[in-house]
Amino acid sequence: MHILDIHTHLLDLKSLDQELLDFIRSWKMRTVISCLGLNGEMWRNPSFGALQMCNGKVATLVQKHPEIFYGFCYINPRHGSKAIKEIKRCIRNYGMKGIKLWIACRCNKKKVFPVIEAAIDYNIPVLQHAYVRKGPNLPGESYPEDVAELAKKYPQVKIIMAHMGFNWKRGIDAVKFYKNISVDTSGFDPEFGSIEYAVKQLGAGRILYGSDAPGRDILCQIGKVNAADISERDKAHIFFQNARFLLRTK
Amino acid sequence: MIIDFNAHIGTWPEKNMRCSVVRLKKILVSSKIDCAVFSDITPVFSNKNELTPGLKKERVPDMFIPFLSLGPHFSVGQIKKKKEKIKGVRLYPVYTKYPLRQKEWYNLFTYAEQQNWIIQIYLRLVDIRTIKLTKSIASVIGSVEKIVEKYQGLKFVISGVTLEDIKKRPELFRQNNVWVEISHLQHPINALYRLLGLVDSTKVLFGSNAPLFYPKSATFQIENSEISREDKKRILAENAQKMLEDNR
Repeated sequence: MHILDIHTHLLDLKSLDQELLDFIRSWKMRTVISCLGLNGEMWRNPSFGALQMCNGKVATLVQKHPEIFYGFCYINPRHGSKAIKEIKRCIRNYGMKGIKLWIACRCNKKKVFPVIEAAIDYNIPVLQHAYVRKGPNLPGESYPEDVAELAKKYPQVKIIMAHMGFNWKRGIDAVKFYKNISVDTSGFDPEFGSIEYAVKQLGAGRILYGSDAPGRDILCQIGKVNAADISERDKAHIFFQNARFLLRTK
Repeated sequence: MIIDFNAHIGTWPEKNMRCSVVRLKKILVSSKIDCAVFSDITPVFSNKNELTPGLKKERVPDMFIPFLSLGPHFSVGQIKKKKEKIKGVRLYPVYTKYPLRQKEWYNLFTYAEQQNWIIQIYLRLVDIRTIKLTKSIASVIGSVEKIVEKYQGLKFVISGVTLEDIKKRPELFRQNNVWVEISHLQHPINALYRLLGLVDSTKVLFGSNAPLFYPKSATFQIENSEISREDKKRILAENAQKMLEDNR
């Protein structure tokens, strides 16, 4: 089983980071990784200096294990022109392959647009967190509909909507008409029918396997896609081929 | 062999769940599950005061071991009239307003002890961020601790448990009469390996949460976890087998 995980995190916690590395090695996987905070924390609205430290950690890891990791740079759109400079630094100096956006602000806000324009210029994907909670979302947390709005405004950008929007039916329905949006399978429970629905609505070519490890158990996340009643060909695309194509890698 | 300690039939409108015995059997058999403890979940989420509405007409295949899901309107008198052979009852205190201290509850546990039933208590059926809870999990665990201690003759299975739950109340999960069912062991990496550092493998039960979750995902987790072959066998079947045989 060839696997390229589009969504993992460097937590800057020695034991968990090592566990992640060991697991990925043992399964001969490759993975995209980003860092949202140091010492196990996740920074919603990091300062520019803090964010640079996060990206620096990823750069070091990728440099040490280029056969395993692809880096995505964590960007805070609230940093304005500095955010664009940071994207440039990460792409040019560290060979990072994409941008990770979390919950500094909702993705349909104007602050995000320069980041998206940079992604288009560099031809790199944007991994955008999106959720639908039972109660209100967290401040700055995007809904799938926000992702759709962004994709409509920028049809040239490649967006990966993380977690299928968490409420996967609503998430998939919100983005299905925007061909520049793929979804990743990370970070939600192995809910029966979720992957089949995504394949039916989006096509297997727009689904990327992700785990959200090490916070999530990788076996459950792999198991979720593996369990789906879809063809082996579709599974191969989801587990590996789609990400390989998107990242323009081997 | 695989024994699933967490399967359901019935209707849960909020989750678009509608599952018959026939459909559940198909799902489990295709996942190579040999035997399943199951119940009709409908009473928990409806106003109907029926205990097994989904089983009125359907025959229960041999691979299924029936439990009763108790909704908010049950009475012990109603349960005593059930003629079908059941092996246990399921309780959902985070989803429905059970007043756990009422006399009716103590009557239930006393009757359950006489009948040699297993009591299965659900902390979760689905991710708690997707549905409103009637009671916090922490407060339910507190109540469960007291019940477990008082009824040492009863066997309790706690379903929908996470590692964090166990770490916060390790004493509960070390009780001789408490077992852990692992359908919600979704965090973090190497979760099952971590669990066995907290709970003895003889107290761990495989559960799929079908048809809410993919059963094959659950078996995949066990089969690929870095735990011993003996522990896998215990979790997948032996522990459940022993428990169900002891409670004949």
